[in-house]
Amino acid sequence: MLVKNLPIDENIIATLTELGNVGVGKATNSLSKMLGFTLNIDIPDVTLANIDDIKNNLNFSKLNAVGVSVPFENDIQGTLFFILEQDFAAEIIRSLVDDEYSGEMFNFNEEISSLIQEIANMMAASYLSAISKYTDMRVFTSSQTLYLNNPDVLLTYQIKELPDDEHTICVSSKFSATNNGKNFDGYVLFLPKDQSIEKIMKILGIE
Amino acid sequence: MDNLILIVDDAVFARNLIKKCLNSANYTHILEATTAKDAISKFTAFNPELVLLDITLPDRKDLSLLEDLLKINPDAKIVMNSAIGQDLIIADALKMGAKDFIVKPFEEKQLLNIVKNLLQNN
Repeated sequence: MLVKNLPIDENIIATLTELGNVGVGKATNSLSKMLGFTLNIDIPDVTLANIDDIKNNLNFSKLNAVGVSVPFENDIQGTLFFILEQDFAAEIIRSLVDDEYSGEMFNFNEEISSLIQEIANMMAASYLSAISKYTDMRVFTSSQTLYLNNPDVLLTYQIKELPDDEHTICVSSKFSATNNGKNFDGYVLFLPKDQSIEKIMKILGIE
Repeated sequence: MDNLILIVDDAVFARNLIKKCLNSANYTHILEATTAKDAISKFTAFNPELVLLDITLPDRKDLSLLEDLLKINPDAKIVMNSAIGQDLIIADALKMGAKDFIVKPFEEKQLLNIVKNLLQNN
């Protein structure tokens, strides 16, 4: 399978899996530090897929969720996409700003919208710090965008923004938390542009 | 305390967190800016004794605002406060003239220690 001239072989998948693993590990550490409860991560899944494949793999269709996209650029370019299940977002809001928050997703005030975006921003920055450490690259984030919708819609919109919208490399990681006896899930999607993957592999000596 | 502090951050949640932290140590003379343009305008007009500066703003996404502020006042006390905690970018900012770099999420004690040390040396 090819993305332009980039073969997706086992070495590339293993490298992206490791970068994703360290990235989401650092990102969830940041979130855990803010929330005061532990988060667990699953091993990332690296796919070269179109939008339908990604949606099917992640099985988002039944979720009610909030999503935040964080574009990044400079030495590498792409987008990090964060998805929090509705209950997870509500738990974060209760933990940090309003302990009586009802869980109503589509009635965010400015402070709550800002909180969710800031959390995504911090997680994105932590994720990219891990990649920077491995590659000696400088990566800056741009202003994030908050989406309150079904993740299928969010993802379709997001991936359509990418230049290689037919097939794209997606490093997806699931993370979860347990608090007050309840389980919550969230997802991080790392969607680098093809030329950025080539650059990362070259720096890491993966031919 | 009378020290004027300028917080530059587009996120109201982040600004509120910083303000709460500063207020707890009686720093109540605080200005806020949400864009680079707003920051330059307030920095020029009010000459704050300390600036807490985020990197990612709606009209900037690199260290160019730090550079611009230091051109206006090379002696300005500017502390970066950003989630972007990459070693290379931290080193760039310090080399350019930032007094310190606080990576978000931060601990209140860390922020207050840095603020107090810089303002005591006024």
